[in-house]
Amino acid sequence: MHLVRIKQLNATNTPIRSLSLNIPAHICYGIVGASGSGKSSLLNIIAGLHGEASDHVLIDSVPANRATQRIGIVSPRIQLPADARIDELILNHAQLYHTHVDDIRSAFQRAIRLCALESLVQQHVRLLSIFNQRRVVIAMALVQKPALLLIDEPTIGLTASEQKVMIDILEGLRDREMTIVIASRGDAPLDSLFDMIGVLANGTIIAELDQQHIRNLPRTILIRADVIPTAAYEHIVALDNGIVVTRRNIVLTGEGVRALAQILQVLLHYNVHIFAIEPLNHPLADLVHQAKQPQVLAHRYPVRAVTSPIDESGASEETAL
Amino acid sequence: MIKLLMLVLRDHIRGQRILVELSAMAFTAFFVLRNLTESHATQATLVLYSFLMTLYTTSVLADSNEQPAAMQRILAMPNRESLLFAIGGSALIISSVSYLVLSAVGTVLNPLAMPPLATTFLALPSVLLVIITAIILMMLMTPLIATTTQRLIILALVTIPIAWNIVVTTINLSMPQIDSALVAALTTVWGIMLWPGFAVYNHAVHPHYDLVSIIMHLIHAFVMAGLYLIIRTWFQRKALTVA
Repeated sequence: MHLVRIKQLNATNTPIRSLSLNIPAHICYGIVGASGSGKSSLLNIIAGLHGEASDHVLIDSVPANRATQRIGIVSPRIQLPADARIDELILNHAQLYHTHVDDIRSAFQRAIRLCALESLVQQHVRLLSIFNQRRVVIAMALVQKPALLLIDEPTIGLTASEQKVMIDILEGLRDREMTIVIASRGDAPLDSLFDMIGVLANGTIIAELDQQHIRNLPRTILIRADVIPTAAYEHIVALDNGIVVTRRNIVLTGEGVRALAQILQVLLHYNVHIFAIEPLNHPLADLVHQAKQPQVLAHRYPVRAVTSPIDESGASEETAL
Repeated sequence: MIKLLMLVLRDHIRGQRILVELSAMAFTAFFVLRNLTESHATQATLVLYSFLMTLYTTSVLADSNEQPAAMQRILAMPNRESLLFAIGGSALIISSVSYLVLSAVGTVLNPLAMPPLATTFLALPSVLLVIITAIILMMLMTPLIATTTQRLIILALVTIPIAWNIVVTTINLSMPQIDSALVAALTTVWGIMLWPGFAVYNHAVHPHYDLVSIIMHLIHAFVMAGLYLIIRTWFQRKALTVA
């Protein structure tokens, strides 16, 4: 059964174009895409905040803008008032959803427990780190016991140890009769959370990976492609140390294989033809067929930026393969 | 909805934005009301103060509630209109209270220049309508509700009719061939839209009730109701942002 249904969605003033998406209930769904691919816009639309487009998003068969009370949203853009106290913030938010005092108190205690904020409830926001503030925002979203929790870039700007704790908190939220949708740029640590991943490029979902595909990603992946432009090259090599890029080939090893979806959407973004993904039975290998039809690809993923290809000297790197 | 209104009000007070209203009130009381000698001038000052202060308060409330942290609350509401009521209600409360407090302070500082109590009470409905007018006009011009184009159109619709005498003279000088019927029609439209508004403002300064003044209040209230419907439609279509 699907909790979220979106069919052929076009949203004005956002990158979202012809997007179709079905998110099953009670899973953790990852929306992975590069900056500007439309992740945050999609979350806002699903949350019922886009006046027109949200009409076409169904949450349990109800248009999203009429189901907002069942939706919680967490974003790094939410800046809490510096002079407020944590317990006061969360209790005030709980009051908007619950009328009975006992309900407010129990919702508050539950949210505090799930976000491990017991020792911080008496503190003011101005004394909290970014990491702790983000936990408070999650707690605020949880006091309503949402059926759908939308989280934008939960680990952005956090240290490695903070990322680990954040993932533990998010892991603790699973299996609580709640569907979680997390938008990320493809941070490898988050992959362990996802039951499904939707790859977002140029405002549309270009591929979906289920849990089995995510868990069974091969140890080494080779992508054979056309000439890779400099901008795409720089984007891809920055993703992980386990990625080697030459003029026409990309090799993913170790943790680098987890960045496959994001690399593919970077290549599509720059209109780079993908000739093959090896091993050949890889779930995203069907993109190769699209890559062999340039007119279809160019129509679906128009080039946004014109970049110069890597110069000939870059070809010497190919010997590394 | 009442809880949301209380939160919006409390944010405004705790965020110390209320200090601007208090400072303006103190300035008006000590530097303007204290030196007045005539009750109509005092009443005019009070009404003008309320109008300008309401414009400021509404603008600040709308801007501060456009932030993602405040916008997160809109999810808790059954519909978006709740936020409009919360912002408008908060502006109405702040402006009405500051009007009453300023009247009280003026009575202490310069009792002889204050209008009689009966006049103050008679003027209250008109003052209330003036404050609501300021709230609706400013809401139409905030980024929370309207796009840049819409705000420019509203600004033009307010300023051009107010300066209509100058505009008509300019039109006649620069484009004498323009159809005079069009100018006359526009003059009539602006008249219907603005004349009752000015009448209500005038009535708030010189309160007296007769059939004409009541009709003026009703026409102005209908115009405001129409503008509120525009605000509601724009806000329902507006793409808001939390993430």
